[in-house]
Amino acid sequence: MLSNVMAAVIGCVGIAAYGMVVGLFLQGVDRKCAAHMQARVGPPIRQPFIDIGKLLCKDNVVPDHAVRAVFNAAPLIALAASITILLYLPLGSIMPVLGEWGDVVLIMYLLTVPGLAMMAGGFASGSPYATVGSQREMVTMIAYEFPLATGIIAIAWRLSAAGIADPFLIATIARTPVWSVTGPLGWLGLLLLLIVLAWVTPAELSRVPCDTPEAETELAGGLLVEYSGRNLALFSLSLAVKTVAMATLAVVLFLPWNPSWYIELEPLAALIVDVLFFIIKLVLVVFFSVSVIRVMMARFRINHLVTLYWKYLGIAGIAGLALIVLDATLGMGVVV
Amino acid sequence: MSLLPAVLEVLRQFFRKPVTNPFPAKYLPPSITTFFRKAATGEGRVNPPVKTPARFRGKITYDRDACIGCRLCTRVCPAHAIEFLPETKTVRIFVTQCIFCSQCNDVCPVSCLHMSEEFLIATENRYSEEMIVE
Repeated sequence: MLSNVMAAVIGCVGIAAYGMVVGLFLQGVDRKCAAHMQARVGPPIRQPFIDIGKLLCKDNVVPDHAVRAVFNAAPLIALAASITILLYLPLGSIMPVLGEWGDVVLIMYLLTVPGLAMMAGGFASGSPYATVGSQREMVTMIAYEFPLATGIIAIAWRLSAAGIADPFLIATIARTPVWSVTGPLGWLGLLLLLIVLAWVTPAELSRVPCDTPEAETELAGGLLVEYSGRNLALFSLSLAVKTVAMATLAVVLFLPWNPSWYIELEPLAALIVDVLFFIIKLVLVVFFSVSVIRVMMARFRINHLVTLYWKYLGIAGIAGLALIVLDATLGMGVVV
Repeated sequence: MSLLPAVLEVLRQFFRKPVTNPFPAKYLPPSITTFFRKAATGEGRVNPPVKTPARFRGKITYDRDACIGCRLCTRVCPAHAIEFLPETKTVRIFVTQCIFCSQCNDVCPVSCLHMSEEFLIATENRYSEEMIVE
Protein backbone atom coordinates (compact mmCIF):
# COMPACT_ATOMS: atom_id res chain seq x y z
CA MET A 1 0.00 0.00 0.00
CA LEU A 2 2.69 2.47 1.08
CA SER A 3 4.90 1.53 -1.86
CA ASN A 4 1.94 2.10 -4.17
CA VAL A 5 1.50 5.60 -2.78
CA MET A 6 5.24 6.24 -3.07
CA ALA A 7 5.22 5.09 -6.70
CA ALA A 8 2.25 7.33 -7.45
CA VAL A 9 3.95 10.33 -5.82
CA ILE A 10 7.23 9.75 -7.66
CA GLY A 11 5.30 9.22 -10.88
CA CYS A 12 3.38 12.47 -10.41
CA VAL A 13 6.53 14.50 -9.70
CA GLY A 14 8.30 12.87 -12.64
CA ILE A 15 5.39 13.55 -14.98
CA ALA A 16 5.20 17.17 -13.80
CA ALA A 17 8.91 17.68 -14.53
CA TYR A 18 8.58 15.86 -17.87
CA GLY A 19 5.55 17.98 -18.83
CA MET A 20 7.29 21.27 -18.12
CA VAL A 21 10.59 20.36 -19.78
CA VAL A 22 9.06 18.77 -22.88
CA GLY A 23 6.41 21.52 -23.05
CA LEU A 24 9.01 24.28 -23.10
CA PHE A 25 11.09 22.26 -25.57
CA LEU A 26 8.05 21.93 -27.84
CA GLN A 27 7.49 25.68 -27.60
CA GLY A 28 11.12 26.26 -28.52
CA VAL A 29 10.79 23.96 -31.53
CA ASP A 30 7.54 25.69 -32.47
CA ARG A 31 9.13 29.14 -32.31
CA LYS A 32 12.15 27.98 -34.29
CA CYS A 33 10.02 26.31 -36.99
CA ALA A 34 7.67 29.29 -37.21
CA ALA A 35 10.67 31.59 -37.61
CA HIS A 36 12.09 29.46 -40.43
CA MET A 37 8.72 29.48 -42.18
CA GLN A 38 8.83 33.27 -42.03
CA ALA A 39 12.42 33.33 -43.40
CA ARG A 40 13.82 34.36 -40.01
CA VAL A 41 16.54 32.67 -37.97
CA GLY A 42 14.44 32.65 -34.79
CA PRO A 43 15.44 32.22 -31.16
CA PRO A 44 17.49 29.26 -29.93
CA ILE A 45 15.48 26.19 -28.87
CA ARG A 46 16.22 26.92 -25.21
CA GLN A 47 14.63 30.40 -25.40
CA PRO A 48 11.37 29.43 -23.57
CA PHE A 49 13.47 28.16 -20.64
CA ILE A 50 15.33 31.49 -20.55
CA ASP A 51 12.00 33.37 -20.69
CA ILE A 52 10.52 31.39 -17.79
CA GLY A 53 13.71 31.88 -15.77
CA LYS A 54 13.56 35.60 -16.36
CA LEU A 55 9.84 35.85 -15.54
CA LEU A 56 10.42 34.00 -12.28
CA CYS A 57 12.88 36.63 -11.05
CA LYS A 58 10.69 39.58 -12.07
CA ASP A 59 8.32 41.50 -9.78
CA ASN A 60 4.85 40.04 -9.36
CA VAL A 61 2.50 43.03 -9.70
CA VAL A 62 -1.11 42.69 -8.53
CA PRO A 63 -3.35 45.56 -9.70
CA ASP A 64 -5.29 47.55 -7.08
CA HIS A 65 -8.67 46.66 -8.57
CA ALA A 66 -7.92 42.95 -8.78
CA VAL A 67 -9.57 40.30 -6.61
CA ARG A 68 -6.32 39.29 -5.02
CA ALA A 69 -7.06 35.69 -4.02
CA VAL A 70 -8.55 34.66 -7.38
CA PHE A 71 -5.94 36.61 -9.31
CA ASN A 72 -3.10 34.74 -7.58
CA ALA A 73 -4.83 31.36 -7.47
CA ALA A 74 -5.71 31.24 -11.18
CA PRO A 75 -2.17 30.56 -12.51
CA LEU A 76 -1.59 27.87 -9.88
CA ILE A 77 -4.87 26.12 -10.72
CA ALA A 78 -4.11 26.36 -14.45
CA LEU A 79 -0.70 24.74 -14.03
CA ALA A 80 -1.95 22.09 -11.60
CA ALA A 81 -4.83 21.18 -13.94
CA SER A 82 -2.51 20.96 -16.95
CA ILE A 83 -0.20 18.62 -15.07
CA THR A 84 -3.18 16.56 -13.90
CA ILE A 85 -4.16 15.93 -17.53
CA LEU A 86 -0.75 14.43 -18.15
CA LEU A 87 -1.24 11.99 -15.27
CA TYR A 88 -4.08 10.40 -17.23
CA LEU A 89 -2.15 10.23 -20.51
CA PRO A 90 0.47 7.65 -21.48
CA LEU A 91 4.09 8.50 -22.30
CA GLY A 92 5.46 6.26 -25.03
CA SER A 93 4.77 2.75 -23.81
CA ILE A 94 4.56 3.90 -20.16
CA MET A 95 0.91 3.63 -19.22
CA PRO A 96 -0.70 6.61 -17.40
CA VAL A 97 0.05 7.01 -13.69
CA LEU A 98 -3.62 7.42 -12.76
CA GLY A 99 -4.97 5.50 -15.76
CA GLU A 100 -7.23 3.25 -13.68
CA TRP A 101 -9.09 6.18 -12.13
CA GLY A 102 -10.09 8.15 -15.17
CA ASP A 103 -10.88 7.83 -18.86
CA VAL A 104 -10.87 9.94 -21.97
CA VAL A 105 -14.07 11.79 -20.98
CA LEU A 106 -12.34 12.98 -17.80
CA ILE A 107 -9.49 14.27 -19.96
CA MET A 108 -11.99 16.29 -21.99
CA TYR A 109 -13.25 17.90 -18.79
CA LEU A 110 -9.74 18.47 -17.43
CA LEU A 111 -8.70 20.15 -20.68
CA THR A 112 -11.20 22.93 -19.96
CA VAL A 113 -9.89 23.60 -16.43
CA PRO A 114 -6.76 25.60 -17.40
CA GLY A 115 -8.97 27.70 -19.68
CA LEU A 116 -11.49 28.21 -16.89
CA ALA A 117 -8.70 29.23 -14.51
CA MET A 118 -7.39 31.72 -17.05
CA MET A 119 -10.90 33.06 -17.45
CA ALA A 120 -11.31 33.47 -13.69
CA GLY A 121 -7.92 35.18 -13.56
CA GLY A 122 -8.95 37.51 -16.38
CA PHE A 123 -12.22 38.48 -14.69
CA ALA A 124 -10.37 38.96 -11.39
CA SER A 125 -7.75 41.30 -12.90
CA GLY A 126 -10.17 44.24 -12.84
CA SER A 127 -9.12 45.39 -16.30
CA PRO A 128 -11.64 45.90 -19.13
CA TYR A 129 -9.20 44.31 -21.59
CA ALA A 130 -8.90 41.20 -19.44
CA THR A 131 -12.67 41.05 -19.00
CA VAL A 132 -13.22 41.14 -22.77
CA GLY A 133 -10.49 38.53 -23.12
CA SER A 134 -12.23 36.28 -20.58
CA GLN A 135 -15.55 36.60 -22.36
CA ARG A 136 -13.88 35.67 -25.64
CA GLU A 137 -12.14 32.70 -24.00
CA MET A 138 -15.55 31.52 -22.80
CA VAL A 139 -17.01 31.75 -26.32
CA THR A 140 -13.96 30.02 -27.82
CA MET A 141 -14.25 27.20 -25.30
CA ILE A 142 -17.92 26.64 -26.08
CA ALA A 143 -17.03 26.63 -29.78
CA TYR A 144 -14.30 24.00 -29.82
CA GLU A 145 -15.69 21.53 -27.27
CA PHE A 146 -18.21 19.99 -29.66
CA PRO A 147 -15.86 19.00 -32.53
CA LEU A 148 -13.37 17.60 -29.98
CA ALA A 149 -16.11 15.54 -28.33
CA THR A 150 -17.29 14.06 -31.65
CA GLY A 151 -13.75 12.90 -32.42
CA ILE A 152 -13.23 11.24 -29.05
CA ILE A 153 -16.65 9.62 -28.99
CA ALA A 154 -16.35 8.32 -32.57
CA ILE A 155 -13.09 6.56 -31.76
CA ALA A 156 -14.28 5.07 -28.48
CA TRP A 157 -17.55 3.93 -30.08
CA ARG A 158 -15.72 2.24 -32.97
CA LEU A 159 -13.48 0.40 -30.50
CA SER A 160 -16.54 -0.81 -28.58
CA ALA A 161 -18.18 -1.88 -31.87
CA ALA A 162 -15.07 -3.96 -32.54
CA GLY A 163 -15.77 -5.76 -29.25
CA ILE A 164 -12.90 -4.26 -27.25
CA ALA A 165 -13.57 -3.99 -23.51
CA ASP A 166 -13.42 -0.59 -21.77
CA PRO A 167 -13.19 1.47 -24.98
CA PHE A 168 -13.12 4.81 -23.12
CA LEU A 169 -10.04 3.89 -21.06
CA ILE A 170 -6.95 5.73 -22.32
CA ALA A 171 -4.87 2.57 -21.94
CA THR A 172 -7.23 0.71 -24.29
CA ILE A 173 -7.15 3.46 -26.90
CA ALA A 174 -3.36 3.71 -26.65
CA ARG A 175 -2.93 -0.06 -27.09
CA THR A 176 -5.33 -0.44 -30.01
CA PRO A 177 -4.69 1.80 -33.02
CA VAL A 178 -8.21 2.61 -34.19
CA TRP A 179 -7.02 2.45 -37.82
CA SER A 180 -6.51 -1.29 -37.39
CA VAL A 181 -10.17 -2.01 -36.51
CA THR A 182 -11.85 0.12 -39.19
CA GLY A 183 -12.41 -0.53 -42.88
CA PRO A 184 -11.93 1.91 -45.80
CA LEU A 185 -15.00 4.02 -44.93
CA GLY A 186 -13.80 4.27 -41.34
CA TRP A 187 -10.36 5.41 -42.51
CA LEU A 188 -12.04 8.23 -44.42
CA GLY A 189 -14.00 9.16 -41.29
CA LEU A 190 -10.85 9.01 -39.14
CA LEU A 191 -9.02 11.23 -41.60
CA LEU A 192 -11.83 13.79 -41.26
CA LEU A 193 -11.64 13.56 -37.47
CA LEU A 194 -7.84 13.91 -37.60
CA ILE A 195 -8.25 17.18 -39.50
CA VAL A 196 -10.87 18.31 -36.98
CA LEU A 197 -8.56 17.54 -34.06
CA ALA A 198 -5.66 19.31 -35.79
CA TRP A 199 -7.85 22.43 -35.89
CA VAL A 200 -9.12 22.07 -32.32
CA THR A 201 -5.52 22.07 -31.03
CA PRO A 202 -4.74 25.75 -31.79
CA ALA A 203 -8.06 26.81 -30.24
CA GLU A 204 -7.41 24.69 -27.16
CA LEU A 205 -3.97 26.31 -26.80
CA SER A 206 -5.22 29.77 -27.85
CA ARG A 207 -2.59 30.17 -30.54
CA VAL A 208 -3.03 32.08 -33.82
CA PRO A 209 -5.57 31.96 -35.56
CA CYS A 210 -7.63 31.27 -32.41
CA ASP A 211 -5.85 33.62 -30.01
CA THR A 212 -8.85 35.95 -29.89
CA PRO A 213 -8.85 35.89 -26.04
CA GLU A 214 -5.28 37.25 -25.98
CA ALA A 215 -5.31 39.34 -29.18
CA GLU A 216 -2.17 41.44 -28.62
CA THR A 217 -3.13 44.01 -31.22
CA GLU A 218 -6.60 44.91 -29.99
CA LEU A 219 -6.77 43.62 -26.39
CA ALA A 220 -3.10 44.16 -25.52
CA GLY A 221 -2.81 40.59 -24.29
CA GLY A 222 -6.43 40.16 -23.17
CA LEU A 223 -6.64 37.65 -20.32
CA LEU A 224 -2.98 38.06 -19.48
CA VAL A 225 -2.82 41.84 -19.69
CA GLU A 226 -2.39 42.40 -15.93
CA TYR A 227 -0.24 39.34 -15.27
CA SER A 228 3.47 39.66 -14.68
CA GLY A 229 6.38 37.97 -12.98
CA ARG A 230 5.77 34.64 -11.26
CA ASN A 231 2.06 34.49 -12.15
CA LEU A 232 2.78 34.99 -15.85
CA ALA A 233 5.54 32.38 -15.65
CA LEU A 234 3.04 29.91 -14.18
CA PHE A 235 0.55 30.65 -16.97
CA SER A 236 3.29 30.18 -19.58
CA LEU A 237 4.29 26.89 -17.97
CA SER A 238 0.67 25.82 -17.89
CA LEU A 239 0.36 26.57 -21.60
CA ALA A 240 3.54 24.58 -22.24
CA VAL A 241 2.24 21.58 -20.30
CA LYS A 242 -1.14 21.87 -22.02
CA THR A 243 0.67 21.79 -25.37
CA VAL A 244 2.15 18.44 -24.36
CA ALA A 245 -1.27 17.24 -23.18
CA MET A 246 -3.05 18.22 -26.39
CA ALA A 247 -0.32 16.75 -28.61
CA THR A 248 -0.32 13.57 -26.49
CA LEU A 249 -4.09 13.29 -26.85
CA ALA A 250 -3.76 13.57 -30.64
CA VAL A 251 -0.97 10.98 -30.64
CA VAL A 252 -2.94 8.58 -28.41
CA LEU A 253 -6.13 8.89 -30.43
CA PHE A 254 -4.69 8.74 -33.92
CA LEU A 255 -1.00 7.69 -33.91
CA PRO A 256 -0.56 5.32 -30.95
CA TRP A 257 2.06 3.05 -32.55
CA ASN A 258 5.24 2.28 -30.60
CA PRO A 259 8.45 0.90 -32.13
CA SER A 260 8.61 -1.78 -29.42
CA TRP A 261 5.50 -3.44 -30.88
CA TYR A 262 7.48 -4.33 -34.00
CA ILE A 263 11.12 -4.62 -32.92
CA GLU A 264 12.44 -7.02 -30.26
CA LEU A 265 14.39 -4.96 -27.70
CA GLU A 266 15.64 -5.16 -24.12
CA PRO A 267 12.92 -3.81 -21.77
CA LEU A 268 14.90 -0.66 -20.86
CA ALA A 269 16.01 0.01 -24.44
CA ALA A 270 12.44 -0.49 -25.64
CA LEU A 271 11.24 2.05 -23.06
CA ILE A 272 13.78 4.67 -24.14
CA VAL A 273 13.15 4.11 -27.85
CA ASP A 274 9.40 4.35 -27.28
CA VAL A 275 9.67 7.60 -25.33
CA LEU A 276 12.00 9.17 -27.93
CA PHE A 277 9.71 8.07 -30.77
CA PHE A 278 6.77 9.45 -28.80
CA ILE A 279 8.46 12.84 -28.43
CA ILE A 280 9.16 12.88 -32.19
CA LYS A 281 5.44 12.28 -32.75
CA LEU A 282 4.64 15.17 -30.37
CA VAL A 283 6.98 17.45 -32.32
CA LEU A 284 5.30 16.46 -35.59
CA VAL A 285 1.81 17.07 -34.18
CA VAL A 286 2.85 20.47 -32.82
CA PHE A 287 4.54 21.33 -36.12
CA PHE A 288 1.48 20.63 -38.25
CA SER A 289 -1.34 21.72 -35.97
CA VAL A 290 0.33 24.66 -34.23
CA SER A 291 3.34 26.03 -36.15
CA VAL A 292 2.11 25.68 -39.74
CA ILE A 293 -1.39 26.89 -38.94
CA ARG A 294 -0.24 29.87 -36.93
CA VAL A 295 2.24 31.03 -39.55
CA MET A 296 -0.07 30.75 -42.53
CA MET A 297 -3.10 32.47 -41.00
CA ALA A 298 -4.09 35.72 -39.39
CA ARG A 299 -6.28 35.83 -36.30
CA PHE A 300 -9.98 34.94 -36.65
CA ARG A 301 -12.60 37.39 -35.60
CA ILE A 302 -14.57 35.94 -32.69
CA ASN A 303 -17.66 35.32 -34.87
CA HIS A 304 -15.52 33.65 -37.55
CA LEU A 305 -14.11 31.38 -34.91
CA VAL A 306 -17.52 30.30 -33.66
CA THR A 307 -18.76 29.74 -37.23
CA LEU A 308 -15.70 27.68 -38.10
CA TYR A 309 -15.98 25.40 -35.07
CA TRP A 310 -19.74 25.07 -34.77
CA LYS A 311 -20.55 24.93 -38.47
CA TYR A 312 -17.66 23.66 -40.58
CA LEU A 313 -15.67 21.58 -38.10
CA GLY A 314 -18.88 20.50 -36.33
CA ILE A 315 -20.24 19.19 -39.64
CA ALA A 316 -16.88 17.59 -40.47
CA GLY A 317 -16.86 15.92 -37.05
CA ILE A 318 -20.40 14.57 -37.45
CA ALA A 319 -19.58 13.41 -40.99
CA GLY A 320 -16.55 11.57 -39.61
CA LEU A 321 -18.68 10.02 -36.87
CA ALA A 322 -21.33 9.02 -39.45
CA LEU A 323 -18.73 7.42 -41.72
CA ILE A 324 -17.37 5.43 -38.79
CA VAL A 325 -20.85 4.30 -37.77
CA LEU A 326 -21.57 3.34 -41.39
CA ASP A 327 -18.26 1.49 -41.49
CA ALA A 328 -19.28 -0.60 -38.48
CA THR A 329 -22.88 -1.14 -39.68
CA LEU A 330 -21.76 -2.31 -43.11
CA GLY A 331 -19.41 -4.73 -41.41
CA MET A 332 -16.15 -3.35 -42.78
CA GLY A 333 -13.06 -3.82 -40.62
CA VAL A 334 -13.39 -5.60 -37.27
CA VAL A 335 -16.97 -5.87 -36.00
CA VAL A 336 -18.31 -8.22 -33.38
CA MET B 1 -5.26 24.83 -52.07
CA SER B 2 -7.45 27.87 -52.63
CA LEU B 3 -8.84 27.51 -49.11
CA LEU B 4 -5.44 27.87 -47.46
CA PRO B 5 -3.30 29.66 -50.03
CA ALA B 6 -0.28 30.18 -47.77
CA VAL B 7 0.32 26.59 -46.71
CA LEU B 8 2.53 25.54 -49.64
CA GLU B 9 4.56 28.73 -49.53
CA VAL B 10 5.03 28.35 -45.78
CA LEU B 11 6.22 24.76 -46.10
CA ARG B 12 8.52 25.66 -49.02
CA GLN B 13 10.01 28.48 -46.99
CA PHE B 14 10.67 26.09 -44.11
CA PHE B 15 13.32 24.31 -46.17
CA ARG B 16 14.92 27.48 -47.49
CA LYS B 17 17.70 29.44 -45.86
CA PRO B 18 16.49 32.34 -43.69
CA VAL B 19 17.09 35.73 -45.28
CA THR B 20 18.29 37.27 -42.01
CA ASN B 21 21.97 38.22 -42.07
CA PRO B 22 23.25 36.77 -38.79
CA PHE B 23 25.34 39.79 -37.81
CA PRO B 24 27.36 39.78 -35.56
CA ALA B 25 26.45 36.19 -34.54
CA LYS B 26 23.56 33.81 -35.12
CA TYR B 27 22.29 34.16 -31.55
CA LEU B 28 22.82 37.00 -29.11
CA PRO B 29 26.06 36.31 -27.21
CA PRO B 30 25.88 36.53 -23.38
CA SER B 31 27.99 39.71 -23.52
CA ILE B 32 28.27 41.65 -26.76
CA THR B 33 31.36 43.62 -25.68
CA THR B 34 33.24 40.48 -24.67
CA PHE B 35 32.20 38.95 -27.97
CA PHE B 36 33.68 41.81 -30.01
CA ARG B 37 36.78 41.99 -27.83
CA LYS B 38 37.39 38.30 -28.46
CA ALA B 39 36.78 38.76 -32.17
CA ALA B 40 39.31 41.60 -32.21
CA THR B 41 42.00 39.36 -30.70
CA GLY B 42 41.20 36.66 -33.24
CA GLU B 43 39.59 34.24 -30.77
CA GLY B 44 36.04 34.47 -32.10
CA ARG B 45 34.56 35.27 -35.48
CA VAL B 46 32.12 38.01 -36.37
CA ASN B 47 29.71 37.29 -39.18
CA PRO B 48 30.21 40.06 -41.75
CA PRO B 49 27.44 42.69 -41.86
CA VAL B 50 25.36 43.42 -44.96
CA LYS B 51 27.19 45.58 -47.53
CA THR B 52 26.42 49.25 -47.05
CA PRO B 53 24.32 50.87 -49.80
CA ALA B 54 25.64 53.52 -52.19
CA ARG B 55 26.08 57.04 -50.69
CA PHE B 56 25.97 55.56 -47.19
CA ARG B 57 26.67 58.15 -44.48
CA GLY B 58 29.02 56.51 -41.99
CA LYS B 59 31.83 57.93 -39.84
CA ILE B 60 33.22 61.19 -41.24
CA THR B 61 36.70 61.45 -42.82
CA TYR B 62 38.74 64.62 -43.00
CA ASP B 63 41.58 65.51 -45.37
CA ARG B 64 43.42 68.12 -43.32
CA ASP B 65 46.00 68.90 -46.02
CA ALA B 66 43.28 69.95 -48.46
CA CYS B 67 41.39 72.04 -45.87
CA ILE B 68 41.62 75.82 -46.42
CA GLY B 69 40.19 76.76 -43.00
CA CYS B 70 37.13 78.60 -44.35
CA ARG B 71 34.98 77.56 -41.30
CA LEU B 72 31.90 76.99 -43.46
CA CYS B 73 31.47 73.50 -41.99
CA THR B 74 31.44 74.82 -38.41
CA ARG B 75 28.65 77.23 -39.33
CA VAL B 76 26.51 74.74 -41.20
CA CYS B 77 26.82 71.90 -38.65
CA PRO B 78 23.41 71.67 -36.88
CA ALA B 79 24.84 69.61 -34.04
CA HIS B 80 27.83 71.87 -33.35
CA ALA B 81 30.06 68.86 -33.71
CA ILE B 82 32.87 70.72 -35.52
CA GLU B 83 35.35 72.89 -33.67
CA PHE B 84 37.70 75.34 -35.42
CA LEU B 85 41.34 75.30 -34.33
CA PRO B 86 42.73 78.82 -35.00
CA GLU B 87 46.44 77.96 -34.53
CA THR B 88 46.49 75.44 -37.39
CA LYS B 89 43.45 76.76 -39.26
CA THR B 90 41.93 73.28 -39.35
CA VAL B 91 38.84 71.71 -37.75
CA ARG B 92 38.23 69.02 -35.17
CA ILE B 93 35.12 66.84 -35.49
CA PHE B 94 33.53 65.11 -32.50
CA VAL B 95 32.01 61.94 -33.98
CA THR B 96 29.81 61.23 -30.93
CA GLN B 97 28.17 64.63 -31.46
CA CYS B 98 27.83 64.21 -35.24
CA ILE B 99 24.32 63.43 -36.55
CA PHE B 100 25.57 62.15 -39.94
CA CYS B 101 23.59 64.72 -41.93
CA SER B 102 26.57 65.34 -44.28
CA GLN B 103 25.73 69.04 -44.72
CA CYS B 104 29.40 69.86 -44.09
CA ASN B 105 30.34 67.59 -47.01
CA ASP B 106 28.00 69.54 -49.26
CA VAL B 107 29.16 72.96 -48.17
CA CYS B 108 32.93 72.30 -48.18
CA PRO B 109 34.42 74.27 -51.13
CA VAL B 110 37.42 71.95 -51.50
CA SER B 111 35.65 68.63 -50.69
CA CYS B 112 37.93 67.69 -47.87
CA LEU B 113 35.10 66.12 -45.80
CA HIS B 114 33.57 62.77 -46.75
CA MET B 115 31.29 60.18 -45.19
CA SER B 116 32.94 56.76 -45.03
CA GLU B 117 31.24 53.36 -44.94
CA GLU B 118 32.33 52.68 -41.37
CA PHE B 119 29.37 52.34 -39.01
CA LEU B 120 30.54 50.09 -36.15
CA ILE B 121 31.56 53.07 -34.03
CA ALA B 122 29.69 52.52 -30.75
CA THR B 123 31.94 53.24 -27.79
CA GLU B 124 31.92 53.89 -24.07
CA ASN B 125 34.29 56.88 -24.22
CA ARG B 126 33.17 59.92 -26.23
CA TYR B 127 36.67 61.45 -26.21
CA SER B 128 38.58 58.36 -27.31
CA GLU B 129 40.99 58.79 -30.19
CA GLU B 130 38.80 57.22 -32.84
CA MET B 131 35.85 59.40 -31.81
CA ILE B 132 37.69 62.65 -32.64
CA VAL B 133 38.62 63.34 -36.25
CA GLU B 134 41.15 66.10 -36.85
